[in-house]
Amino acid sequence: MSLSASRFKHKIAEIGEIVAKEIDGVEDGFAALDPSAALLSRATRRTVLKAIAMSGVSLAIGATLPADGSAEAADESRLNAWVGIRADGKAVIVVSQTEMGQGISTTLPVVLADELGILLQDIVLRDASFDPAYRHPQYNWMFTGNSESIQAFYDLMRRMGAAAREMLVAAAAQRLKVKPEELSVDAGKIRHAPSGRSIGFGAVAAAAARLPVPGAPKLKAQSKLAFVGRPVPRFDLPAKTDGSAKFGIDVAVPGMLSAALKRSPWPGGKPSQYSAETIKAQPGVVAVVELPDGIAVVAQTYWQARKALDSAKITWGAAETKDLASSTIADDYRHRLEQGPFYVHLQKGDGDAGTAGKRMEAVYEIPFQAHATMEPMNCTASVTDHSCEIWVPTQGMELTHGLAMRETGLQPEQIKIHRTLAGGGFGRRLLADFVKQAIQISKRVGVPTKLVWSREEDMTHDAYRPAMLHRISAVLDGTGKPRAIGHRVVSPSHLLYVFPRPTFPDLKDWSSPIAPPPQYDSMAVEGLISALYDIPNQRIEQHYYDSKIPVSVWRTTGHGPNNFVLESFIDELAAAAARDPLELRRELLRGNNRALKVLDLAAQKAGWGQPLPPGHARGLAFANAFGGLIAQVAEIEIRGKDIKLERIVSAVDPGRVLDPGIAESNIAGGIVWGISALRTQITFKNGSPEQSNFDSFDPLHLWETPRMEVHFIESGEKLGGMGEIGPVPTSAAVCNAIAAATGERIRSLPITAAGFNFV
Amino acid sequence: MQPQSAEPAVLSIRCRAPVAALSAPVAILAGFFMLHGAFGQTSSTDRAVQSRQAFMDISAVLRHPRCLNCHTSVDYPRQGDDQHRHLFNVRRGPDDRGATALRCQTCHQAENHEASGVPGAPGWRLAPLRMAWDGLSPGQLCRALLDPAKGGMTAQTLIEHLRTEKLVAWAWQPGRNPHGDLRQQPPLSHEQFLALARNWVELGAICPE
Amino acid sequence: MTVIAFDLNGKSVRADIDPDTPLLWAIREEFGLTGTKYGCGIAACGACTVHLDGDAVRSCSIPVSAAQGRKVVTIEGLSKDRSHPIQKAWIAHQVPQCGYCQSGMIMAAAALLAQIPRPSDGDIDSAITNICRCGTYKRIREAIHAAAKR
Repeated sequence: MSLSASRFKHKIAEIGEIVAKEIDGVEDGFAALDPSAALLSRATRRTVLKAIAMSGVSLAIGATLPADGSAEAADESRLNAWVGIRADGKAVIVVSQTEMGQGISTTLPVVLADELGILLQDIVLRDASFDPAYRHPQYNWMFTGNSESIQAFYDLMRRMGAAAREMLVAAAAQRLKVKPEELSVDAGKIRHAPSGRSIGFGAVAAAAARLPVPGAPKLKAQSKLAFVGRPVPRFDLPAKTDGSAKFGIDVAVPGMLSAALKRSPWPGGKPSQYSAETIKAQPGVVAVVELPDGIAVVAQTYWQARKALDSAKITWGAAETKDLASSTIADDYRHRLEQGPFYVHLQKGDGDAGTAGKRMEAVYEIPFQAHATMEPMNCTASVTDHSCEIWVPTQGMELTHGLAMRETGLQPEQIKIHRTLAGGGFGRRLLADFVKQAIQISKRVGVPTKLVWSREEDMTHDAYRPAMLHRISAVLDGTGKPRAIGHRVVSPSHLLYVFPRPTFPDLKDWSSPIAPPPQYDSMAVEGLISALYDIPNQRIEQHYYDSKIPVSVWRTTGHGPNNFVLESFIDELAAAAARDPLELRRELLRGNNRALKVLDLAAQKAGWGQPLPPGHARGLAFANAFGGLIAQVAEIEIRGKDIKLERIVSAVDPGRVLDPGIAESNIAGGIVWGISALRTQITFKNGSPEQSNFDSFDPLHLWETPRMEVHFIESGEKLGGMGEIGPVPTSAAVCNAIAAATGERIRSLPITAAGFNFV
Repeated sequence: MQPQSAEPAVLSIRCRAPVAALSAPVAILAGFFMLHGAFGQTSSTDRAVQSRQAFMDISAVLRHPRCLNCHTSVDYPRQGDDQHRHLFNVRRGPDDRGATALRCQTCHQAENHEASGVPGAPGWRLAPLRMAWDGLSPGQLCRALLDPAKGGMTAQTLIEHLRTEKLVAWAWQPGRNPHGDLRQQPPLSHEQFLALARNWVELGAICPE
Repeated sequence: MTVIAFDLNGKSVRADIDPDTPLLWAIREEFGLTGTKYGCGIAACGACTVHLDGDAVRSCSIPVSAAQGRKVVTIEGLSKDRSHPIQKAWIAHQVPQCGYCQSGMIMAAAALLAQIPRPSDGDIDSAITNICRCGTYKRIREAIHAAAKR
């Protein structure tokens, strides 16, 4: 007997029954995370523990309730687009950025809450709907990606929190008939010390909401902040330990059907022959929907849809992409490396060739990669003549909203997007291809439909991190130091599907790829232009490869591959001149004290220069990426072609560390991503990827993960992002260690191509 | 469709020209019957030769991936027609049934599971190390089978085992892998295999060199 | 369609369902328990791990008919109010990032602790083969050791 009718109500009741009990043993956790936890003077451990339970539940609720306004309590007074205060004194803080594991749904609200002057336990989170208020201030586009959330919203969150605080203080001053300067704010209460009176946020919220929003609110001094800079227990974690956290794939709305989809094995192919009648006769199947490049089966349950689809015999029309194969793509890349044409991103001094001296050159190859988020792509859409409601784990709120408008012809206010938690994003969920499909299917069947991609569909219909071919060259002085450097990169644009469309209002089709003008399209050379090495003559050029394989951004995008090339090559130069790789880099970074501090810290913590047992080696890499600096040392043991990763030591300077616990998890998790990238790849044959599941695309596992140490430096410079910087230097650090141990220089990834593997 | 497996030398000893056109297993069986039919009683040397030959034939099954993948000499199983090391760090464990917290039966059930491509048969597990066969020549394999310390069976009980053990029978119903492709079966059918095994025993269960 | 009856998180349940339906999809769609996740469908990633008569199994690879008359525990039934030592340690060590793999990870870790109360690093290596794309392995290992010490 299916619970489908009452399943949704059942879930809400269950969540309501969850009692926020204390979790003993969190004391241990705090001690492990931060010895200065005792400094949490305003938030005692008890209150923080309660916050863990309560706030986690709130986010879950926010993600599952329908958007009929019931999420906004009648007694909530909104002070600005980001925060409202309820009559009971709780602060409802809007989460504008997609939570995909990076912890942003904790950090940004905490920044606001800290300025506001409220306890963590009094925070209620609400996931943002699409609204221009939540656009990235620079790109004018609502999205989450490219490690930009903190950089984009940190100041704004502070100002919003401070502005709300000042409005509450102003309202309290009026109520208490005192001057605002005589009032202080602490833990959601406003105190008038001279008279000993105090009043809570809740009591003055409605009055405060009627006051003008201050244009230049006063921000707290760093020493007065209670939470920022300390590890905060993430609000989303409790629900992620008991199965109650809802991802897009878990969405259930009344009357919903489920759909499975199969698309052409090669890009752009169309379904040619299949028997809709046979498929429809399968148990539970309600409809068969033909899409431009695929067949969707709609049924009572996903499994019924999937089973019917898997047993269907479908033939696909030919397309020229059917001939695509890794070997021919690689040949084409090599041809382009010689023929161009090339766009010059940077020419400095005499470029790469105008200087006299010994010249070294190498060509590096980086493969296609799949995102392989643990949660496959999915979207639930409910389309009627006058509304389009979407539930989706998306990084691209605005792109989704725009696409929905175009697909349905509806007005902006008729489109409602419920963004759920995302089971990994890594850039893939910026695109809206799965949204388009769900909308089309729902339109056709006339009921809400949840479309879920199988793992095979997901892996073979990704927008891949593109393959790149990179010729790097240098002209050396007498000491082996480069005086000129040249980069010639063959790569498609990474921005084809994710370029901020509002910048180009003429764009009509939100799902078709378009490249921005080359002066804005430099992701394929990122990390090269911004490299900090003091090399006076440089030339960086790119051939924009016309890829028939769909490509897009991928955690580290251009920084990862380019750092692999640059840092491997620096080690090649060092080896050629018999110089220590650390010492050569120190010379190239001379005068840049910030960079030297990061480099030296990693080297020192890794014991660089200290003797190692036979078969052991170290490799070093340095990067300027995503607004921060990072140096990494990989320590390995090699037995033949078997590599045991012993330890990876990182030093990271992101300007400031807003939350050391979340920051460390991003770096450590990122390093796992970076190591995986050394051995996974997507290859093509007959137009299709040869890898379709985890049996052939093998990311790193627990037993292969090395010890990791992460050390942070807070230089006080501009804030950098944390989500992608961790893996950037990992490929080169490991390959430099391999070269140090074996003399073998890996120029072509994955390392398995040279017979190496991790054990 | 059964792949060709027997070496040409077998055909040339046993069969005359007309048989060469047949597929190998048919040729082996044809040769066997021809020999007995043509010559009636055979000498003990001939019997030894034939016994050894019979074992060579059945060893083509014993050394097929469907058998060797679980008769390993290391602390992990193999998988696939290409016999790669079983993914996901799957281990033999203390009792050949998997690591204590990752038992074989965590994934492998009593039947093949077509939806996931995970093969299954009752009691899915590795053969114990004393029954490890990888790297053994047919002669070594034969002696291992008959060695009480290793195979732990007599020739007769071995035949019974080959006939009734579900994990053995699985080799002929191995199901589809996760990509929907049928797993390769051994070069003889189960019945042919048993017939030849019995024949080997009747001829004295003599081992090749 | 067949009626399959079993114990699900301590409650007797019945479903009139295609008996070949993978247990994973029966749990998610028939019984509405979405804590158990679909990650690969080929027993490769472990996101679908549940306990069947106390043993960890990958539910994408078992038909629901195999649960007949047996006891199935999903992440929702591991404890009331997140009180299992693994769950407590997961919070204390702030293990999850995106969280999608963690239901299966926690069920695998809970099964490990039930078999080996104080697992070594080698035991953890062998038992925890679930895939985590966010790379939370370092904290997973730490949390399992911490939970074992309780």
